Amino acid sequence: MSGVWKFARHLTLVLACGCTGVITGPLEETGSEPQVAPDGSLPYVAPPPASGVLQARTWKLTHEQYRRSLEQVLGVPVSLTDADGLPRLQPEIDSGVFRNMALASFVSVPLAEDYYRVAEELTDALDDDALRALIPCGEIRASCRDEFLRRAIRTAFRRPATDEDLTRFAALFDLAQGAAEVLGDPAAGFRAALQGILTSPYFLYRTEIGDDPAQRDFELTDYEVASFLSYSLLGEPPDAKLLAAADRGELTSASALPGLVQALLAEPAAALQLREFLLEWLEVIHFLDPEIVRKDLASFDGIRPAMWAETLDFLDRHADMTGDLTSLLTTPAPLPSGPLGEFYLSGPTSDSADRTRTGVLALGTLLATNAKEGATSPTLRGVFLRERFLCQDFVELPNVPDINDTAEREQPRTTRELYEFHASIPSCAACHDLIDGTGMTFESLDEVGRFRGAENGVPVDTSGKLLQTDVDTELRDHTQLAEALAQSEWVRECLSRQAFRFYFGLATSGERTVDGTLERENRGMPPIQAGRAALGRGGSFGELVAALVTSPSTLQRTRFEPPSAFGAADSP
Amino acid sequence: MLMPKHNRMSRRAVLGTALGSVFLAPFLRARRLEAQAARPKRLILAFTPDSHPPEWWPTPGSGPRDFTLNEPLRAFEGLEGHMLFTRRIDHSWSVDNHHEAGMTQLFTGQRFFDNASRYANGPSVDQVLLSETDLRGGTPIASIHLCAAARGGTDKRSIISYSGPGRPMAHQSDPARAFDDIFRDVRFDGSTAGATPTADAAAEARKGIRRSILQGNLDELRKIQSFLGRTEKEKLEAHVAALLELEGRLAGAASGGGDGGVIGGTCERADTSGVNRDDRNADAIVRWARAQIDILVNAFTCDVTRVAGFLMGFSGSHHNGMFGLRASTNNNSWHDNVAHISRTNDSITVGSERMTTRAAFIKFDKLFADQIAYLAHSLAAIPEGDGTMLDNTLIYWGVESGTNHNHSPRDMQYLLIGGERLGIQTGQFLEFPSTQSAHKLHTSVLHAFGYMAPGFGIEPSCGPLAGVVG
Repeated sequence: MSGVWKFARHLTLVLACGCTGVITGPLEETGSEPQVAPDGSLPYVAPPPASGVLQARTWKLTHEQYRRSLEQVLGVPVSLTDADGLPRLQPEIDSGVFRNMALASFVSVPLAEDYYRVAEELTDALDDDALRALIPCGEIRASCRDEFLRRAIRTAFRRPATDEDLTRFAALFDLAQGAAEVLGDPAAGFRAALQGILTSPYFLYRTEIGDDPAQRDFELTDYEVASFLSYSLLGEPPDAKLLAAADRGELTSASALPGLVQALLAEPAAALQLREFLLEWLEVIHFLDPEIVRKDLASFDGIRPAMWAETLDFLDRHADMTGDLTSLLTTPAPLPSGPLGEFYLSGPTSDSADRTRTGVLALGTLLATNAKEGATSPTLRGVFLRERFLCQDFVELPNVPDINDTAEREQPRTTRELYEFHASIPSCAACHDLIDGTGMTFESLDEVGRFRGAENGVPVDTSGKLLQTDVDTELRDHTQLAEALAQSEWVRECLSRQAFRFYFGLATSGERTVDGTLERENRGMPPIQAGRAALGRGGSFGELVAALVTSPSTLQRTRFEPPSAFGAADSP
Repeated sequence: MLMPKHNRMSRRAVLGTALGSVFLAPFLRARRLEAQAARPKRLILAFTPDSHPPEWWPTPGSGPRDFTLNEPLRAFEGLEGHMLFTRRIDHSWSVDNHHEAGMTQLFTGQRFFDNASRYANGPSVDQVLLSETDLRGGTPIASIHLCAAARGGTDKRSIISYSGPGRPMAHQSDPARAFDDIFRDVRFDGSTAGATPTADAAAEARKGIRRSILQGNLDELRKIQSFLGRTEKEKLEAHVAALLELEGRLAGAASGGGDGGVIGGTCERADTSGVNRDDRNADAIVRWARAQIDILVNAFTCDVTRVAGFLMGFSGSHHNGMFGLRASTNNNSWHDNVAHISRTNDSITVGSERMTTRAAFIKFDKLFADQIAYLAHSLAAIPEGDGTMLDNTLIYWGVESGTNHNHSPRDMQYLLIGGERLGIQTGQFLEFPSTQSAHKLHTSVLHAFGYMAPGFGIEPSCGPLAGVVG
């Protein structure tokens, strides 16, 4: 298919629906053109294969990874909240994708200050016993310097100390130890060396740079693989066992990788990391955001912990390593016992409501996160589904006509009426049909997840429609929506893309449009397609993750940066 | 990837190196002597949420210098001669409802860095001036960023300053924490000019250790950079710049304050008590804002910094139920139930009153405007040299949407307050006969501070806006 035709096709799709959004996903450019099925849906089209070689890079530790790494080095519990309950670090960058995106994070001046302050506070707080535990000879003696440095550097940098490291930190140690008397601290050298190590870029970043800068294309070192796997799969630094395997050179073998990954995925930390992925992918992590408030509902704050616990429990039961997309989306969520169940039944019209809750999408946390204070929002719920399950972005064109200055909008009887009025405006309809048609199916559950039978005296209507997917259908309610999504190849590919973003910290293959505003992810990358294929075989979440990280992208890197839209190719 | 280059070394960074200090130290001493009589320059970027009602614009009189303030800006009365209104200023691009696009380009003139974060793809006016001019004036902290009626954080809706592409500068919402961070090295002893940090042998030893750590970490960063491609190298440049900044602070801490000149006012401890950070209560917001503003002003009188950002709320912030707002439906949000429908003149309940949505919009907008007025009056009350601190300070105030919440990039409400000694032609209401690009206004601001850039942001050759700087 020619580029011109592809563009025309894309344009036709956009114009045909009148939607001014950017519809991405399998519709876009690559692969053969999808033929519209008799039911109007658009079957999945596989993209052509693409390279899985990633850029040489650094990847700054997230605050939580940093905290766990500090604990591993210092051997004491570390909190990133101070005595006044204030955070000790600047807020993390909001990449809009996942928390741990490699390209988005950076060290600002205030964050650099925080890193130094935390390192000083933590090392100053180490008592003699804690310090001795970090020194192989067990004594706070300057003669133990080199052994101490070797151990601390290996733990902190996740690799053996080099001669260069030892020279640097020995000099720092000696500088401080020489001032021990002035500082009133016989262990000044030990503390200063730790401060230097804990603010070093080799501690603050995971590096994926190989060991020879002259080599353009290269494989990660064993130690880099250890860090990649440990932080990505377990959310923590590699332990002594994994580093020992790196010492033996066992981690860079592609044939050994599957067994290694399986062993790591069996660890409890891997399950927690999977849960973290699900919480971020489903945006339910935002339920903890102080911005999610319901001041008009006095009982909300008190019930929030139970709602959160319900979600974690649901994920642990139905979306663990053995769970899959179908169990996540279609397992009925029973009415909880106790106060949470009473809360869900406490809506003004809960008594007359259908009490069906199907799958994770019907949980109170997700519903409250994608709602307004005092009102549901089919649009927020619909956009969430399109973005997170279908990997589609909607970007309005500028100067959308104002729809707010009307009595109809101010005085609707129901949420459906409000949004249907909205969608009756032609310029709004095309996008909102795609969005609200799915969001409306949750109208039987109010803005905090309580059952709702009627709104302002009008029985709720949960009908909707799923359009412009490979599983288009009219919908009776959110149960049918969940069942349709669970069958979608588009959703499987999107889930694989989302997991790739999370586990590899990448949302792009490096492509950018000329104006620099839109990053593109190459759907054909081996890990994404391997993950999709695993899900297509009915694979579990564990199999999805294993497929992703046993792909060539785990080991292979390049220092060559392909020419950008601006013609600036680069290679060191 | 179109990313402005940020790997040039600033003068301050050069000074941070051993070689730089050898060659530039005599020059620096000479400059400090000269500065004893010089007036400091200062810049504040200020933001209040959403847009303003049409009444925010003054009523024009017989000429540009003849105008009358209306209700939303009533608290500015007496400062008319320090204000410069520019009407028919447009943002150059938009997407969605302009909230995020407006916020991103408000002071950067840039597009999105990417479509996920929606951060700006380049630095803001304040940070450009810090890297291209002597605006910092040798002060210990390059810039401070405070907020009220908002949590701060790194969401794009809460960011007005960027140090580079995709590099947001977060605002500190907690006055107590802000105070600790900004005045850590300041001793409040009633003197009129700056801080005198304690300097004992232990402190000197600690400083030597910190210096050694910083230098070692810089060396390691540069080594890692030699293994990376262009984009990844650029990413680490922010970290390099941060360490150079900390090195510079370490070197400058001994002298305290800036590099001299006439600094007005008294270096005093700001009162941060009584702040509960409730963004839905007008009284709480006022107390919160004033605590932050007092910190900001004292950071100037202590000469700790000469550049500040002050954010109230965030793009699209709701402040539900403030002033007792009650809407017939929905969520009692000033954004949804007042700003969005302020053109209807429908009625709405605010506390015990029933009023038009327009009147409610003015009431809410005035609350935010009053705090900017408090800032301006505070600066105007401080004698500095033969004028006031406001004469040497430009408050550059903007919002994210066009006049009267029109969800468009048209008729953006920027206001320049103060800065007469920088050449800002205040005391004017410039109503341009045709639309003008906001990039021109930004360029004029750059010129006022001595950076004669041909343009700004994505309009690098737009030139300045006529009549703003003279």
